Amino acid sequence: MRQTKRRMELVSFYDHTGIERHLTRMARKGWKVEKINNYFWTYRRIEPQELQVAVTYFPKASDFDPFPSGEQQTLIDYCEETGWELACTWFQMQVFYSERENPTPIHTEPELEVRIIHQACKANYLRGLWFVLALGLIGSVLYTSTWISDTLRMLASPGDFLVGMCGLSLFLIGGVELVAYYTWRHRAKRAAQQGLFLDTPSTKKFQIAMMVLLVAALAWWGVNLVLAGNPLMAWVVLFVTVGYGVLIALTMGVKSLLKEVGVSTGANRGLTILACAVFAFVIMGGAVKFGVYLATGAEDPEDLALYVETPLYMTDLVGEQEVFFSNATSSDQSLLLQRLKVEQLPWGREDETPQMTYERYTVSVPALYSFCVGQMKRQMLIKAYWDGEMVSVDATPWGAEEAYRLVAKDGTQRNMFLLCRGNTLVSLDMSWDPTAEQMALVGERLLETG
Amino acid sequence: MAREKFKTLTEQMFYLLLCLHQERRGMEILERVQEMTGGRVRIGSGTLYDLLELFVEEGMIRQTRVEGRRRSYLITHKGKEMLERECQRLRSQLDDYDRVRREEDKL
Repeated sequence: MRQTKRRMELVSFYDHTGIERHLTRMARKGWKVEKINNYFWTYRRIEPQELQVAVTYFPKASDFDPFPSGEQQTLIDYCEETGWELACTWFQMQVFYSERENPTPIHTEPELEVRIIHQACKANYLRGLWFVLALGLIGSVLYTSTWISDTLRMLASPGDFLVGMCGLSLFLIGGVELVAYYTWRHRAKRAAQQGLFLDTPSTKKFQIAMMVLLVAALAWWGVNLVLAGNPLMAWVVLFVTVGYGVLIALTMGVKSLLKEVGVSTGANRGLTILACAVFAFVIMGGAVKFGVYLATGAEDPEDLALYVETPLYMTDLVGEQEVFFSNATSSDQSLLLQRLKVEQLPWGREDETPQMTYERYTVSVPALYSFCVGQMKRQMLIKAYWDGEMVSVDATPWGAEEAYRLVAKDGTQRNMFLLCRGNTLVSLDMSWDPTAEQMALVGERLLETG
Repeated sequence: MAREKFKTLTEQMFYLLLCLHQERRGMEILERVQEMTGGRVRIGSGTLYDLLELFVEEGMIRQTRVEGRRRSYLITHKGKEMLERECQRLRSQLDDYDRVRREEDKL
């Protein structure tokens, strides 16, 4: 029978009443918490019993303290004298157990308790939440704008989808936790003026929902990576993930070791950050290199030819020119869609030299086809600032089944086309009027994906 | 801070200051307050620590001795004044109560 177990607990740092209830239940089941870190709570097996639990805060404490400071130890002594035994500390939080039936609570003055909790939260928790909120806000704005303007790219790129979902989750977590905390604090202060304690709110259900959302996005990304993604990327991601785990374990190990040795708080913080930076550089660099090596046999990532084949070049259409054309390509692939975008612009020229951009989507799920056509039209109109509409034109010269052209509100025919054939959709933006020959070549090169 | 920076004192603040007319260590304060109030008022260990820190910061009490982790405290002149003001306030409250009850009984 195992004597210890680890659990990930979804609790808010200041939710001391929720944590107390949870730890009381765990004690009834025969588990007592003995260690808490950012990821897991470690429990030790005990005889199932009715224990009183008190979670309090010591604002001056730091997670880098080698041992409780003289002041914190004085508080711990007072608690011990009144029957409360310290089980563990985590940042400013302290968890006490008491075997007495009716011990005097550690906090008997509600106004002071609210004040102490706020001081403790200000030290790390609230700062972290504001940071998470800001980061999430930036991510969410970028994510939402991409979803609106480039919906198909999000469906074609599980990586972008995952990053977007992370940004959105961070924003929601930061926002909800901050609102919950400040609402509780406001109410708790009012209750305290009447001499009453107010229970802290639980956001556990919300945190579980966020966790499910993130795991689902991660699973979607993972499945796509394995089934439809680049094998090189799959190996790199695998090794980076393992490397990240090793990095966390090593960094936490350094911090714990320095605490045990008795290194001062400041020195521990500095050395841990330094160790984390060094480990990150070595482990992540090594993980990427090893992943690349395993996937391709290339010893150096720089040796890799990350070349995406371009089906159509400017020179195919307009012949050799005096200028050199750039060939910026980007591609994504998911179980739903495959995307290729190519921009071919003349280097260092802003004159009448022709240029073009095309984006091709291959729809893997037939049910999505009509939706994708609609989205392509919408995305093209967004790029044209909604000036005009996509008008159906003769598809024959392109060798397509359907063709649309952007016609501006003033009746000007723009050289922006949407071509559809089979499961392939191509948006084409050219700087000149294509000839019939050029149209046929475009259709031949871009609509035949087989 | 609480009580608009000691405009009034809570019971726990009141008894803590009261028992520090004599030099006492933390745990002795807890025992003495229980003794003085017949167990009616109990100060939690965390609250004791926070109140002592707060009162020292505000100059209402001072640390007199430190023996290892054991610290002793004594009320200051400022603390005595605060306690006296609180007593006056409570007395006035009681006087008001008595006067109003007497007047109402006469009716």
